[in-house]
Order: sequence, then structure tokens, then C-alpha cells
Amino acid sequence: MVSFRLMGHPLTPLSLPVSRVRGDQQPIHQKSIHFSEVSQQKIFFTISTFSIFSLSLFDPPFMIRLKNVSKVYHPQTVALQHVNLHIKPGEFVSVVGQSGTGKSTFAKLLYAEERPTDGNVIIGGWDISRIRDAEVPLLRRQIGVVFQDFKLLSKKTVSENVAFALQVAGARHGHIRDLVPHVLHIVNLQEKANRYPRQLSGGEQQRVAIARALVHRPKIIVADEPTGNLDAVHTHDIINLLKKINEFGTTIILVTHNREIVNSLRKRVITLDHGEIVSDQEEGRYRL
Amino acid sequence: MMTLLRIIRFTFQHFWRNFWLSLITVSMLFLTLLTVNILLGLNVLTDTVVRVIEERVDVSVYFKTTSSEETVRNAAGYLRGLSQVRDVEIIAPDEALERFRVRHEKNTFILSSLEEVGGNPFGYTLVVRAQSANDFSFILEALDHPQFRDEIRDRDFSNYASLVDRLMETMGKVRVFGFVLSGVFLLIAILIIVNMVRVTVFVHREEIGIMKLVGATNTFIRAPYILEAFLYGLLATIGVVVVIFPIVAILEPWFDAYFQTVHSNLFDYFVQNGLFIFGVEFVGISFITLIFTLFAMRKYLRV
Repeated sequence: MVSFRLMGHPLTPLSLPVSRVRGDQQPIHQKSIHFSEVSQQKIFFTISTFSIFSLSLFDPPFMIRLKNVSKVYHPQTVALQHVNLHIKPGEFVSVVGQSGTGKSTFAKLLYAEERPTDGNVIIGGWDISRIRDAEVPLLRRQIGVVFQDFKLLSKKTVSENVAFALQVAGARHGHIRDLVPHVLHIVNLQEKANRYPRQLSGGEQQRVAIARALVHRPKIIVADEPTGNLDAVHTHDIINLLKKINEFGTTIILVTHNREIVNSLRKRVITLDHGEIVSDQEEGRYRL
Repeated sequence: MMTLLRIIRFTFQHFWRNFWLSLITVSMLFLTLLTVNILLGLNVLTDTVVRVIEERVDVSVYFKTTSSEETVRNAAGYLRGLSQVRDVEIIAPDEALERFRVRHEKNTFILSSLEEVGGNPFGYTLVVRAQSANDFSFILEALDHPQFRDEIRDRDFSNYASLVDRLMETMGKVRVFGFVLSGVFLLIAILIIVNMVRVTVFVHREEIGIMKLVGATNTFIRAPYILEAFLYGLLATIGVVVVIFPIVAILEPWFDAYFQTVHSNLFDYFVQNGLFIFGVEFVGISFITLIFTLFAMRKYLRV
């Protein structure tokens, strides 16, 4: 494992097995992230300066890189074909496309729910194309994932749901006890820490899911249709929250087919059609 | 250490949140162990019954009136030399007559018949007690020794032999039935465990998926199921301990009254061997539960 401690703060770089670190990889430093701006109270929650690995000092730094990636499901259902892209640290990228164009497959490749049939998926310098099963938990502790259906543990309270992500990683009790309220404060759910998911609205449940994704201080958050089950008001809240998290340096991959969201974001838009990238625009718009 | 504590906490959480299913599984394991313990108790009682019979059952060897005391004493000495013989009592003719009179003092017909015969119709009698009921056949064969075979008028054992045989046969059948019953309970418990893991995995497949998504390792997901197997075994064993001792304490005086001269020692048996018996039962039932939990997880829990 490779990890760093900078500025006297416990860091969570995208840790990867030493065997996977290439010789030409150099740490890249990102800016500090202060969630105190989000909270009304002065909670100084620092996700902090962290280090990631890039392929080379001479290449543009990237957080995510897909090299000629194809994914074929049996029998001969092509979800993605020859996808090449790179996403820089701190980018907010919307991945759009009609149903069945491979958006979710793209998201699943990023958190190793699926493996590419061909090509390479590289996250922070870690080629996860052929990642071993035993290494998947390590990857997932460093990528926050948010889903349309929230995927909360129904028999755990809000704070237990958020804490669980730390518990599985073996975090100390004191650390969890301190961190969870801070994260709940960020998503403005501190008052509902002891409620069960069924006692929350859809928007609140999605905020719990975001809090859980945040609690690991991830470098990347993959949000797969996070507003699909929400009304306009809650959709607006969630997107604002993701934007705020992105402003503090976290790379956001937003998979969506919501035209309004994509157009209002004015961020990079990657359009998929039949498993291929048909458009990749900075400050793009929804074009289908 | 922290992870282990969390796994233990999740195990109890899992047990509690699936309470009824857990209760049924523990109940079946409890019934299995209870049957095993009833069998053990039955073994102790069987031994007690055999001891009672052996205390009471003996071979009476009636010598002819013409047989000399020396011949009888030789025969007694010979029998005492056999390892199967526990005790040999020599009853002289006068004493035999006296015992007969006492035994039949209310039966005037028999007493008048005795008067009619005149004199003492009894010869020497040897009362032979064996080490165990199984030894009687050997002792009877030994009495065919040529040195005193012709001196013996009669031997009295046939009724006891069939009684012992029947008793042994009955106890054997009871034991077989008990083993079959234990096997049935164990089979039901195993089926419940396998089904429970299957149902639990099915019910919690989404939860397990979420655990994986937030970075839980396979061990972290599987370990509570494995620990739960031990928890079932432990609770079933504790349940049996709690039930067995009061039951035995209540029944023992009843058995002792029934057997009269022989103490059944049932309570003492469980007190003296309790640690071993319940320890082995806990390890055994937990091991079986664990094996089938692993089997069910391998089949249904793909993490």
C-alpha cells in the first residue's frame, strides 16, 4: 500500500498495491477542500490536500483514463466499444445517452463492478482492467458511488449507514464517531441521524447516500442517475451538493439522461451512443 | 481487533434481526442435543437396571441330598475361581429347609406336604452371583464340570436368562430408536440451517451488494454467518444444560424409589461428566452447523 501524510493531516491518497505503481508515476497535489463553506456552522471539515498518481509528468494529469475499452456481454451484446477518454482531477463530467447506450456499464467499469472485455481502465494510475477480486474492496473505499435507488441499508439508521462505509474499512471507533456527524452536517442531515431510510424523503435518502460516498474522502464520486427518483426541488439540491463537492476538488462523474441538469451545469459532457463516444465537449450541452 | 469486534456485533445484530428464523434453528439444534442427552441418560438407567437385575438375579445350584459337604465346597471353590463369578453362597440343607419353611409359612398345604415327605428333602445349595448378566450362560456351562456334574440335581436360572435377554433386547431397540430420532432432529436442523442461510442471503442480497459497493471484504461479509453458526451451537447447548439438570433432579428420586436398592446416579453422572458431555456436544453441533453454513454460503452467497 502507498499512502501519504501531508500537512499533519491523515491523508487518503488513492492507495494502490505497490506492485501496481509504475515507475513513472508521480504524486500530484490537489487543493485543500474545506466543507466549512457548506455548513452554516463553522465546521472545519478538511478533505485536505491529497495525492494521486499520474502516468507521467509529461502527460496531462488524469484521474480516470480509458484506453480503447470495449465491453461485450454474452451473447454478443456490445455495451461499449473502443472508448478512449481521460478525465482530469477535479473535473465534473456528465455522461449522457439514451437508455442502453452503455452509460451504466461505463460507471460500473469505474468501480470494478464490471471488467472490460478489451482495453484498460486506469484510475489514479491504477490499472483496474484485470483487478483481482481481493483488491476490489480497496478500490471501492476510494471511490464514492451514488445510485438512483440510493442503495441504503434499510435496517441501519442514517448515521449507521454512513458509519458502515468506514467500519468495513476498519476505521477506529473514535474516528467514526467524530467524522460521521461532520459528514451528515455537510449534507444537512445531522438532525435525522437516528432515523431509518424509510423515514426519509427521496432527496434525503440520496443525501445520505452522498454522505456515505463522501465519508471515505474519495477522489472520485460516480453518481449513476442520482436524481432519477427525485422531484425537481430535490434534484436541484442534489446537483448543487455535487457541484459544491466538485468545487472542493473531487472528481465527479455524473451519469444522467436529465437534459435540464446537463444544460444547467455547463460542464464537460460525454455523449454515448451504441457504446461509442459520439461527442465529448467542454461546457457541453445535452445533444440527443 | 476492531474488525473482529464489529463482526461480532454484526453477528448479534443479524441474529436479532432474524429472530424467529434464528429461534427455530436453535430450537432444532436444542431438540437434537436433548435427544442425545436423553440417550445418555437412558444408558445410565440401563446400566442401573442391569445392576438391579444382577443384584437380584443369581443361579441356584441344587445338589443331591447324597452330595457331601466336601464336594459342595470344592464346587464353590471352583466357581469362585472364575472371573465371571462375583460371589458364591453355600446354603446347608438345614438352612435351606428353614428358609423354605419361612417362605411358605402361610401355605399349610406345602408345609403339610413337607411333613409327609419326612426328614429334610433339601441337599446343599449354591447361590452363584455373576459379575454381569451376560456371564450366566458361561457359569451354567462351567457347572457341567465332570467332577460335580452328577452331583447336581437342578439349576434355576432359565427365567432370569430370558428376562435379561428381553431387557437387553428392549434397551437395544430403545437406543436404536433414540439414535434414529437424534439423526432426524439433526437432519431437520441441517436443512433449516442450509435453508436459513439461503433465505438470509436471498433476503439480504441487496444489502450484501451494498456492503460490497462500499468496500466490504468477502471476509467481512461472510464472517457473521460463520460466527452465527457457533452462536446457534452455544445457545442450543446452554438451553440443554438449563433443561437437563432440573429434569434429572426431578426424575432421579422417582427412579431411585423404583429401583429401591440401587441408586441410579443419574444426576451425579451429568454433574461429573457435564463439562465433557456438553463441551463435546457444543463442539460437535457447532462443527456440523459450521460445515453446512459454509456449504450454503458457497452455494448461495457469491461475494
